[in-house]
Amino acid sequence: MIAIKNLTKVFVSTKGEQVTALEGLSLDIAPHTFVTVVGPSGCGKTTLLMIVAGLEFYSEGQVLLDGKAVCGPSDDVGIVFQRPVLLPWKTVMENTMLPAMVRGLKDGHYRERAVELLRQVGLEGFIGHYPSELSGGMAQRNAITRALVLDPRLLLMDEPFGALDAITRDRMMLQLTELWESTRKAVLFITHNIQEAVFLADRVIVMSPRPGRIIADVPVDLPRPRDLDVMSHPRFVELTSRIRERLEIGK
Amino acid sequence: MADSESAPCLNTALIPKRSMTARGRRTRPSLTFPVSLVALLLLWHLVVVGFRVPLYILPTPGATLVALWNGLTANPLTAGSLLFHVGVTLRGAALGFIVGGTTGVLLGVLIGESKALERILMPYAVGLQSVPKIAIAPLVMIWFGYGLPSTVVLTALLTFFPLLINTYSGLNVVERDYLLLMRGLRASRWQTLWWVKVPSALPMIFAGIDLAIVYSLLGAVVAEFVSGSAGIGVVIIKYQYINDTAGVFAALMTLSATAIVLHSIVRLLERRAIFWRKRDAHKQITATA
Repeated sequence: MIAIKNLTKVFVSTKGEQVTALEGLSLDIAPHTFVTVVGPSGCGKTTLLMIVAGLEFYSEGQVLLDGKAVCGPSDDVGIVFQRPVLLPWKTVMENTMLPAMVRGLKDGHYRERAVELLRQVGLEGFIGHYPSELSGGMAQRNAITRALVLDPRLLLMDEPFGALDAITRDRMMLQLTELWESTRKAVLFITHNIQEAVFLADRVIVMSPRPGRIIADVPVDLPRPRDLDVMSHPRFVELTSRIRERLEIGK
Repeated sequence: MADSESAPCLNTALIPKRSMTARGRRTRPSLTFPVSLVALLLLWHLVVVGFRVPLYILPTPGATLVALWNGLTANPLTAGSLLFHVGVTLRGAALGFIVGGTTGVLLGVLIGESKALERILMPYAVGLQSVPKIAIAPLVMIWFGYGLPSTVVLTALLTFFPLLINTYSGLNVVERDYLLLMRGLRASRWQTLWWVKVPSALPMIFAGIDLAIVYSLLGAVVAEFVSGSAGIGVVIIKYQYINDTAGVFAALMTLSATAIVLHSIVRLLERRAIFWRKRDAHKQITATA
């Protein structure tokens, strides 16, 4: 699905210095797998996501999406940003439909799909509402439906629950796994929360501080479907502490 | 921990003030304004009578109200009517506002969208903006003659800049995340402009319109001072010649009332257009020249 080989990203800071954000990073993501990336802030994990999204250039290496080099945004990729970034002057339904509208696809198929997605995330009662009437968690769920409306094969999520309170975050994690079980899309999910990373993932990629490199690739063999009880599973505790150790050594 | 949880809060600074909690009081029509207005009129009257101020320096509120009443009740089709002159001034102001405002918004969008146009036109826009437009009035008369054309041109010049600058800045303050989102969706430039940038710019554009409304009346009145044959500006000059200060006051009050009505209409339209914005955001008063 995604093949990243020897990816390096160097940018020039505002002070004019060369900063290496990512160095020699290689990563393969198979279809239908949920991959989370954890790392300290500033390790370049958002940069990695933006490069895969085709929204950021890279200096060296290769990024292939289904064998083709990524050189711009693609319909096969849906993106969920840190903030919901909903257009306040459009309704929940219109925000979900935005990618389809941009393509001029306003026919019944996409409408039905949008309604179905909104139903899946529990927003069916808010279709005609405006984003200002939504809570933080609801707004981010609206953003997720927007990323999924064109039925992309890869979903990129950049710390989507980072701004939410702990209780809402737990609920969102649970809802996202349920959504994922039913769609089984490839997901690249960025986070700095270790529990979140393990709970959601088939595979956790651990990154070092800048310049960002992969320092561990941890398969998560917890049974699915998962609910919040999984967090007290001994295996869950073992995996989170292993990742925490890796992050400590990385420092 | 247990102590701080059970102990009542005795810090009076943390207790909300009554005016802040009693929300109902704000919505009830307040008597403060009518009372202060009556007090002010009374003070005005007492100053004029008490210090024996000549009527041509400062008329009494009574004399002003009489002038206002006569001006407003006269046949609106005759030159003795203030409404007739307000109509003339409004016509010039509105035409100038439409010409200047539309050009301002359209050029603002073009400059905001095209780096090349921005580089070519912005220096001139900034340079021209620093010219006090009122000072050009006599020149405008030379070029466009007496009456309506000059009024429209001067008003258009005055209303053009606030809308050009506000539209241009409005399009440039769009949140980066929105642009990233649209880029990720491979939206066309037109889609990004129409769906994201223009709605984001609306608050700034309306602030520009609000400013331009006042400027348009200013431009029309100044043009009438210099060359008009009718309009509130002409009325003011006429009454000044005959030392009818009460008449000047009445004309000024009519003009202010017109500005307030126009301002309220703009606010109403703004609330309709920017329906997604929280009400509190409207509670600001902007200073106008």
